[in-house]
Amino acid sequence: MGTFLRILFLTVVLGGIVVGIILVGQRQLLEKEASEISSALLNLRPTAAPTPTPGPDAGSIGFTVRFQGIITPGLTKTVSLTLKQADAEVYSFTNIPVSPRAGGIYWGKVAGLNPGVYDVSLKGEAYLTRKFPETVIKTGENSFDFSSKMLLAGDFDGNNKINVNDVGLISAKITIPPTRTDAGNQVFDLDGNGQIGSSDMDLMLSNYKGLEVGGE
Amino acid sequence: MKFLESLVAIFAFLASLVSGVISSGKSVVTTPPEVKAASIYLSSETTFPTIGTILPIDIKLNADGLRLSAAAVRIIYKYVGTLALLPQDADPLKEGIQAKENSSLLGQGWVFPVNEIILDTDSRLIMVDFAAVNLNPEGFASPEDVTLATMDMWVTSLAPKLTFNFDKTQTKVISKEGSEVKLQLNPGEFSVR
Repeated sequence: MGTFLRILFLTVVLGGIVVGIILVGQRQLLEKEASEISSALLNLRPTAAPTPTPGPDAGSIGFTVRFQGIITPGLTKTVSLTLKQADAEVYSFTNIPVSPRAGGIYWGKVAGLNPGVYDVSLKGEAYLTRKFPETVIKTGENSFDFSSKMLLAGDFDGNNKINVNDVGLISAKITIPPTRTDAGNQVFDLDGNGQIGSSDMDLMLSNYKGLEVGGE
Repeated sequence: MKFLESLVAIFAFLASLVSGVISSGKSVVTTPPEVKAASIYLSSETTFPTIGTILPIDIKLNADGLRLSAAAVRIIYKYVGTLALLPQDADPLKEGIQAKENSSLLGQGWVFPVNEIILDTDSRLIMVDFAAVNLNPEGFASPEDVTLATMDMWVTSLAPKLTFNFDKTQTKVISKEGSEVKLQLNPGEFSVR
């Protein structure tokens, strides 16, 4: 009888431990799944593909764009490009890579656009949108100089407004010693000097002239 | 003895279960941290303003021990009938009407990128937009209330109640960590008798 009770005792204790381990395991699995789903959603960014089917007479545009404050050549940049007709969005491209030229000017290209007159909007990450109305796109290769109106820096949260929340975001990156630029914080290094500091804040504040400064 | 062994077995079973539940649901046992709240309010050193004098209204910030990087303020005074207060321009060299910035804060790393007082007689309101940014890498922390700016108002007529309200969507205080802090806003009430 005594042996039976000891076996029963051990079985109950081991059973409790196993149930506990299973509960911990389930929790970790759920957390892992949630993390993977979030990552997958973050990666679901549209690529540079035109919405309407390009016709036989579709054209392409090569364009220049200027980012405010960039003093260092060779930085990697991307832009978003939206083309509208009568306020209706016809094409939307994100993450278009643009290659550096001199003086903060970059060059990019988009193909497969049907000819027409469009209102073109350009936005860089952490920059306000610039609008170029009534841009005529023809069959073949088109070339546009959008660098005449530089993209204004400081929209770190991407809502196309510069406000005190953006000030807070860059302020959090300004530390002693200065924060070195890496892939995760590159958008805050507005002048591209390799670190996030007062020169970047000054650039941002030069555009913070009202409680909410909106893009075009 | 058998009873004791059974009791220990049941206790061990329950303890194993509880340890599993607690470690799988960590949020159950954590207590929320104390939430501090900064405050912005209006005050005046002049208790009884009279017609023909200046009513100085201070925009005050209390950090409540928080380390801050910036503050944005929108104040609105709506009136009916006659405008009892005329905002005075603190810097005639700049376009528009400006509040008087607290110059003693400039040495503590503060800058004031937004400073604009709009008198809109069509809409019958005075709107004050003001922003203060602290450039110190450590941020700003003070146990005392700080005057960010002063709005000088020229008193033109009697007014039993003058209420200056904060626009809650545009009035924000940002921590050095970059997020909005909980904010307490107290409107300013004054009278000219």
